[in-house]
Amino acid sequence: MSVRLILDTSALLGYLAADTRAVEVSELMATVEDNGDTCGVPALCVIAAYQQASDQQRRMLMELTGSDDGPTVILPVLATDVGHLADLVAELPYDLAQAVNAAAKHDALLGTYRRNAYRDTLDPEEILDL
Amino acid sequence: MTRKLSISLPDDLAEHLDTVDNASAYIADAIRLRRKGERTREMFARHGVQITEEGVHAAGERLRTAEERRRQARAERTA
Repeated sequence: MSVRLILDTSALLGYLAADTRAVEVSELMATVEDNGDTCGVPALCVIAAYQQASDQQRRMLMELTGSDDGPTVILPVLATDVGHLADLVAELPYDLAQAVNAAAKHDALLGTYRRNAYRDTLDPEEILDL
Repeated sequence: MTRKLSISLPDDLAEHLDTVDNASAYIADAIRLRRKGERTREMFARHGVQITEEGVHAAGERLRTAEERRRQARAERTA
């Protein structure tokens, strides 16, 4: 199983909004899972989304990202990520910096509602607009 | 524990199974993947998110198109 798509904080918040954004993000997660792959959610994006979520949304977020058998896998910050991440935080908040780091590490597209936030750090075709 | 089952399959799927090393493991993996997808869809429903198989198919097409666009852009950059 490989990480085929990275979901950043905006994608997670879109899921928690339980509106049309949630359908869009869910259908992407489902198609990735149906093909035997998974969506990577950077740990710092999960934390950032958690901080902005209501109590009910936090429970949803933990169920979405916390199961070993779910459609996502939480991506930690490893020692080998620190150098690249440290360079990226000069341009981006920590959560988005880890999303860029994770996309590069897993050679995966980055799914986001905030393309402009990445304009100085990612080539446009590395992003999947949500 | 395992159980020995006798099942019927369409000819084309049965012919495909003839080409794999371990048909039982192949079928077991397919069932596990299907069950995983069902559990995920149940979770989405619990969270108030109703997806459709048409939407999932369209999302897959969109993802493949974006991946192909990225592959071409990378190839052009290295050419």
